[in-house]
Amino acid sequence: MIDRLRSGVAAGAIAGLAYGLFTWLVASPLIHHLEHLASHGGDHGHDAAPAVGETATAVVSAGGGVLWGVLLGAAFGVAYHLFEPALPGGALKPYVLAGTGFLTVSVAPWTVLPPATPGMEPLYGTSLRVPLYLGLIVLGGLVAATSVLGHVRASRTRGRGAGILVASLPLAALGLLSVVAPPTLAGGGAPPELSAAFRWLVGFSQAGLWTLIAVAFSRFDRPVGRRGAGSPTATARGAD
Amino acid sequence: MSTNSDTVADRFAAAGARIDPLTALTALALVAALGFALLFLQDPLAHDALHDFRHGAGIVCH
Repeated sequence: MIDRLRSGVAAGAIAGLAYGLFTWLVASPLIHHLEHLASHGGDHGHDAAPAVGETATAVVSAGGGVLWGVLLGAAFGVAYHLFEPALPGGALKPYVLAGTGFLTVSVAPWTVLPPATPGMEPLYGTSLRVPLYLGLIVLGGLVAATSVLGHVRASRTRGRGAGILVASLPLAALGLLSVVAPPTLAGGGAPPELSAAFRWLVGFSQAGLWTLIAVAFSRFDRPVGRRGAGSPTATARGAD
Repeated sequence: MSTNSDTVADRFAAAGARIDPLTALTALALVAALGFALLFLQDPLAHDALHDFRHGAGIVCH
């Protein structure tokens, strides 16, 4: 368990470094630009001046990206150790777990509360959105568990095709939720194409983060699983 | 690392047997304390400084 936790944290640190770099080099400049565009209607000043400068925001956000990776990696390691027997896919188990993690932490909340393009205003206050967000994470966990368990059971009794079909049913239900859910964001001067592109960027960056965690984890986990000679401890290079 | 346990229930049982309650309690208290500290960090300075990250990761709040 501790070994898995260690592997998870190391994998999360590496993935988090990449993600922090992405936040710094891609996300931050883009967000600042979009916000600048959005606030251009009201003369030149930002309508709500932030308490810190843009550089500080970029640096802290990049650091937040690293910590986000570490947090997800730690949770990944523990969850992998506990749920490994139930995961399908043999050597691909870390990727299956990463997929369920992505579904739980990101995709499920996004079905009702999609990523906000800079300039958009939320329709509801945080007192409603935060519990909703957490509730959707729980729902996402249930959907992911149903999908994986259904897949294992159906493919054992009825073959591979049935397994894939059963696995996709909860996901389709989640997709339906995103269609049915009322909008939670309003306004924003950004054109819909740009807004959609920003959402895909967010989605792909989170998916990439999970993929990196799974790749690094499966690399670190091999020596642990074999219980072989001293595992090469992964020191995340601090080069940022 | 027990290699013979092959069900999820076994893994949970093994984890329960391996980690004594005091350690678990300490870890839990640490996580709770950190979470509590983070809640205090929700003050404008830290919150605004993480603005890009929240947008980039598609996390709630604005």
